Amino acid sequence: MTNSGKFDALTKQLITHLLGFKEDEENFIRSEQFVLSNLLYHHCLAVNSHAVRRSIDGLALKFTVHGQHQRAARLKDLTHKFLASPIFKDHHETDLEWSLLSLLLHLSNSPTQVPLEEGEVQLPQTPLDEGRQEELDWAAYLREDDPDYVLGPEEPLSDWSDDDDCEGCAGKDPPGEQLYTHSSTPPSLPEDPLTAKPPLPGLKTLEQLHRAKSWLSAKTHLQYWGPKQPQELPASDHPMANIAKLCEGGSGIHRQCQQLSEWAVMREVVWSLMCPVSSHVFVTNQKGQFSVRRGITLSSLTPAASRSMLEYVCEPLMHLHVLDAFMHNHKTPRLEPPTPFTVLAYASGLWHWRQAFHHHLKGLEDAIKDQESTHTLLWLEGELLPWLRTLAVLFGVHMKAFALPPEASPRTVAMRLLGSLCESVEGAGEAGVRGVLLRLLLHTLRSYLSIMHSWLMHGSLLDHAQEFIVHRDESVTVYDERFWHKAFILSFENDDLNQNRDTRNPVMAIMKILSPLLAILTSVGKSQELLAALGAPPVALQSHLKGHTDCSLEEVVVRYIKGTVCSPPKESERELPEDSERGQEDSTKGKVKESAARNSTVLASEYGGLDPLMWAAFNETPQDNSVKETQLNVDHIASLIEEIGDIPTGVSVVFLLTSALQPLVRRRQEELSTKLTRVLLEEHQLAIHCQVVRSVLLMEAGDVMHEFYSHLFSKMDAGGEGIDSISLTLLLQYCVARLYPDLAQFFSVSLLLQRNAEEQASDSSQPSLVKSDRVLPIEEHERLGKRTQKIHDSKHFQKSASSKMSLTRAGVPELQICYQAPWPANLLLTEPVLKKFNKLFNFSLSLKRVTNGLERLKFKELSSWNLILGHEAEESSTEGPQMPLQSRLHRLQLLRQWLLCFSRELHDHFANTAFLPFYQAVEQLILAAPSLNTIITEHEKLLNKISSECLMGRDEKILPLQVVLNKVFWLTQQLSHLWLGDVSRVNVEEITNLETHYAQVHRYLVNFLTTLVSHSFSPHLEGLTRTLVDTVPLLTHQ
Amino acid sequence: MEYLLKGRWKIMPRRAQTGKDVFFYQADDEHYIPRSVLLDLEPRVIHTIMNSPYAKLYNPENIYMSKQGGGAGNNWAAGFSQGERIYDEVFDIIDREADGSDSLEGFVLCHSIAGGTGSGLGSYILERLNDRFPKKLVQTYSVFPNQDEISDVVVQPYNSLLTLKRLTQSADCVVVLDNTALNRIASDRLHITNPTFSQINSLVSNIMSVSTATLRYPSYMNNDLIGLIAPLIPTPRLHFLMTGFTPLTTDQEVASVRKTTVLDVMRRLLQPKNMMVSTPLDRNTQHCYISILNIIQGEVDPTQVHKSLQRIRERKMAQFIPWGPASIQVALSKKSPYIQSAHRVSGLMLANHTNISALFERTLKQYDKLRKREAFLEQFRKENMFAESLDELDQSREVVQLLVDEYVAATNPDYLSWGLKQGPMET
Repeated sequence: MTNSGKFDALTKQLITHLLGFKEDEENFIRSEQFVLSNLLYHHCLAVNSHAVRRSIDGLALKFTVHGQHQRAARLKDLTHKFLASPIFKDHHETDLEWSLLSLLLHLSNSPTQVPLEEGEVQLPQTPLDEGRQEELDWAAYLREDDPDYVLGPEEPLSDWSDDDDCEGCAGKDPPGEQLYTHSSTPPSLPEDPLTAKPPLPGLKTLEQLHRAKSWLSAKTHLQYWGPKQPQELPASDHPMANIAKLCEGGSGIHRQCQQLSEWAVMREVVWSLMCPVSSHVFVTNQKGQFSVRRGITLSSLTPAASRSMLEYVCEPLMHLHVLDAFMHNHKTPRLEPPTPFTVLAYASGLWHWRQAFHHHLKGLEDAIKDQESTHTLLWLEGELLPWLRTLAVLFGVHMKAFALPPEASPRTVAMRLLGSLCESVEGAGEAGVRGVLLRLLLHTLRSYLSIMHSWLMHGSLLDHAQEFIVHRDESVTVYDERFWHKAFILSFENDDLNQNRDTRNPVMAIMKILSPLLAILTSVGKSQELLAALGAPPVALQSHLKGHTDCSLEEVVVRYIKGTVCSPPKESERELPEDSERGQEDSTKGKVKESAARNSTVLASEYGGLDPLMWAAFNETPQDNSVKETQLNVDHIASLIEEIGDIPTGVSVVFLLTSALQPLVRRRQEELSTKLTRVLLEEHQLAIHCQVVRSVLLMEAGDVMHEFYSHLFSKMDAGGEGIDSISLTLLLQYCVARLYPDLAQFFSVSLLLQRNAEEQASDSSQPSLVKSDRVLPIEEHERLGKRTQKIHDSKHFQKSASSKMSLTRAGVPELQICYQAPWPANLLLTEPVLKKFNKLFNFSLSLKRVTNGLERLKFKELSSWNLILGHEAEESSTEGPQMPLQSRLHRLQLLRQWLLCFSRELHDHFANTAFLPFYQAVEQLILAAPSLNTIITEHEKLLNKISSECLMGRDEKILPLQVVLNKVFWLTQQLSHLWLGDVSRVNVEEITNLETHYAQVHRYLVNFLTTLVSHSFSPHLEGLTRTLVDTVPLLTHQ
Repeated sequence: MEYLLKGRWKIMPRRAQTGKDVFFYQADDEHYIPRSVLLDLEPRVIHTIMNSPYAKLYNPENIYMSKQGGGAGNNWAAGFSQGERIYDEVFDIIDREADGSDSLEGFVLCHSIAGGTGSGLGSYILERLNDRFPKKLVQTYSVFPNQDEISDVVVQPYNSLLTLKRLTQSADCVVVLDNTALNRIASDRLHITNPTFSQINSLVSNIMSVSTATLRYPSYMNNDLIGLIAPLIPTPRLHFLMTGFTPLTTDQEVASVRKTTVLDVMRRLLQPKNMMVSTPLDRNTQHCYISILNIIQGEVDPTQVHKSLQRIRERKMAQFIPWGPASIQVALSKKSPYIQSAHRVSGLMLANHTNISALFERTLKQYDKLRKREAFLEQFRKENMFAESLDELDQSREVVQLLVDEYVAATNPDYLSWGLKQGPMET
């Protein structure tokens, strides 16, 4: 303020020149205040010539009305002359004449009431002189200061207060305490001749005094801040006049109160809201809380009343202060650790709101400053209230969103922020507040949306700040078989904070929007990554909205929401206010569908004929341009967001966002998944791999697998030598190679070696004991039977024990067939899937073991006994009680038949009701070519179904069917032992024993199945049950 | 006499099906050659084949015609003894084919039992195959003579009886193709007034092709011959199988397409009129099924199978043996994609029915009539085998009688203890 010194000097000069006061005189100080007030807070620079002319015309009219025609004529005449003065003609400052006139008007006070008589004589001269005087004086003056003192309305006054407010000092003396007549002589400022004149006689009355006093105080704007300490009014020359002052000074409270004009306070309030720092009226304490400065009052109110009147601003000021500090902190992104872009976007969203608020405040300030209409503090409060309410809500959300421990991950921060915003939008009742919050939410979501956009578009999950809810597990490569399940991790951290407190987790709110999207999004991401890895040409991103082919996701979403919120609800609201929600939902749904349909048709026509390679080529080149475009688009989107208006309560924001995002994402997913499935099926033969695994592990390729297992079984029966993983692998590969020469190499067989002799011993005895205790009465017999058969038994078991492999009780080695599916196929044929397949394989192998064993018992092997039979018949007719050999043979044959039919029944049943439907279902599934996701899950589902159908029961230990199979295998072994051995030595008891055992097994299975069928709905078992019930053996032999 | 496999699927592009190796192998030019040997003692039939479009299909080395070309003259003994003479040449061919097979499971013999070559040479080959490949299966498709026509072969009962003995003792499975029934089916069911050989043959080839479908189109079950026939045959001698097929159509009758379902097909298969064996109604014995295997082809929903089986069981449409597992096995098989069929589902039944003994009884009866008068035996006596005695005929009669007895015994619940009452079996 270099000019202030000059100002002061000139002011003093002016006063002494005009009024002749001494400098330390009370009147001098008052005059100085008045002059400075008019200098600093003048309204005459940006002058409206029409307004001034109107005022002068009005004044003239008023004179006429009051019958002072002469005066009116004179005024007009003088004005005219003044304006016509040549000085102004070429003056470089335009409208100078008007500025001067407006100043004069400003200074004048009720011109009609100025006494006529004296003025009448003086008047003809004075205005002229005065005009000249003023003109010379003021024009030069203003010319001088103008460059420095451009106080146009555009320049925010807060700049001033910013500079000075820290000093926070102001004149303590209320202005115009003492009456001084000279200052209040209105229309004509005292001129040279008048200075010597005594005070005007018209101001003698008390009323006039008061009016003059109040006029002065109204017209004087004190600078209550700044370096210039307001001087105490010096003691008057008249001792009597000092009594009141002294009295006031002694009374304390009153002494400290600085009276501010309402106008000043209003401006202070506005400025403070523009820039929430400590100011003259509002001061902060260490905690950042604002309070009204003590000792400030409005002239019309008591200090307490004015304080309570102003207190409503304090809290918002504190909020604003916090928010501003937050925005300031996040203006530039930190690098280490990286600030989540979501937070930055949120800050910029806040900034947008702040700008709007600022804009509003500026408007208010202009209105106040112009003083063209009456503005009061109450009016200001009314104007501010909606903003302050919004501010309070914003602050609440802000605090909630950031109420996190400092070590919270960016992801948590981002999620929580979005969640709180989303929650608050849903919770807010006011349409305006909802609008603000939605815009803020949209701003904040932009980071997520742009992540999604780049993910959807280019297939790369660019999330530098690690804020996105999904993140890529880098340890799982695209070539990993776990890729599909494990590649993307949905990180949903339950922050401790919320677990401790019993509040609802705000993250849930945003999850409402995101959760339906995430599955699709991840599948899109995975599809894209896979496609890229598979070397497929990129799938062109098709337009989301018609006409906006290169729109980003953000823009589309924003446009959609804008379109939905801004236009249609008004009508429906007007029509059915109570049904508005339904109506809107319907209309939005309808719109979504409509736009989706429209888009798809547009797309089909636009891109239908495009060569994908060509498209890709075109798509590649303008990459750089698009970056720039997006750069440009940023503000464009922000402005789009800002254009969204208020949101009525009826509209669910969650629904709005979901419906905006979902169709887009879903469509993209469809495009990609179709492509992916096609690529996988056509180029990478997913179906073939699937088929190969089925062919081998489910024995769909019966001939090939027949060769494999019959070879295996015959080797086992020959003593099990030479069975090891390598030879089995070679055998299997040899067999499969006939069917799938290219894929046989992926198979390998691993054989579980015998763990421990003891362990196996316990294995063979222990489980049967346990089983017999728990469920199976039949096992008891079995065990008994086994003991009696031990002698015959031992031979076989010794054989198996001597070999190295561990046999299951069904006489099947524990084989694990591994299919090393080449890369894309291993997404479907993962290890767990193959494990399940292996279980089924072992199941069907044990079935095959039984049927195969029985089928290989040929009648021809018995026929040699016919020769002996002949001899026997001739030689020994005295066989005694022993049954004829022929009959024994016959019974063996029939027992074989029974067992064979029984095992075949089981075998065929599972082939027909489990394996075949599985095959059909999988074929159908692949034929339908749904998304890879569906293929994987459905395939797994089908596999689970077939597993539970075949193995019947989740318990690993006790599978009744396996028990039956084990038993049947044991019977088969016994039978073949008899069959291939010395039949002549077989006694009837042994055969009968076997027959009884078989009958028990059969009945046991029938019982089990009947119970199962009656207890649970298992249609696939009904047929088997009925058949087995009908074929319960009648082998009871007398 | 032919050792021929007749399927309709032989001209297939490569890689179309997986199971073609069962009956075919690939030549160097990748065309498929059937693993078949064609044998005859007179050139007529083979010449017909060699003049047909199929001429180039067969390996010419596998076609054997007797040098004399005189045939067997409808004499079993002549056929049998000629077989002894040409043994080396014939088995050279058979050995070569057997060696050329990766995993030889058995032989399929197609012959008739009434004539001279089919019965005599067929019997000889059957016995020798059994000696030479004791572990291999031998399945025959045996054509039984038409009883409705007065045969031009008067010694037909002798021939049949002698062949039946070999079929009983040396074959593992005999699929009986009864000319009587085939002709009746052609005239009654297909409305052909005078069925030609080719029409009848197409019926037969149809049956053969379907009955091997599970071998040729491998699936979960019945992928080997033994697996196919083992559950059907409870004891060594009861191995004569009847067949039935539905829906029956000829090329002329494509217009009448019926709706076919699994239940429909299975029900039709149980009707005697669809059986390819003519069996008179025997009121004295309660004949019944020993076992049934239905091979269903076409678009089949597996769940339908069990529903249909249940329905059949509920209505007791099939009478089963009282002593054994009474169940209908069902094998679902693929259909050749190269044969267009108007029907969605078709089915073949392979059944072991005690009723078939009627066929043998008929032969026995006719044999007894002839034998009583010692008619036409001089032709047999010309051969070494019968020069000294006619014991062979008597033995054959005994074997066939035993077979008939066992079939009858199988209708009784106490079949299990059948061996107790019977005297020891003789060879």
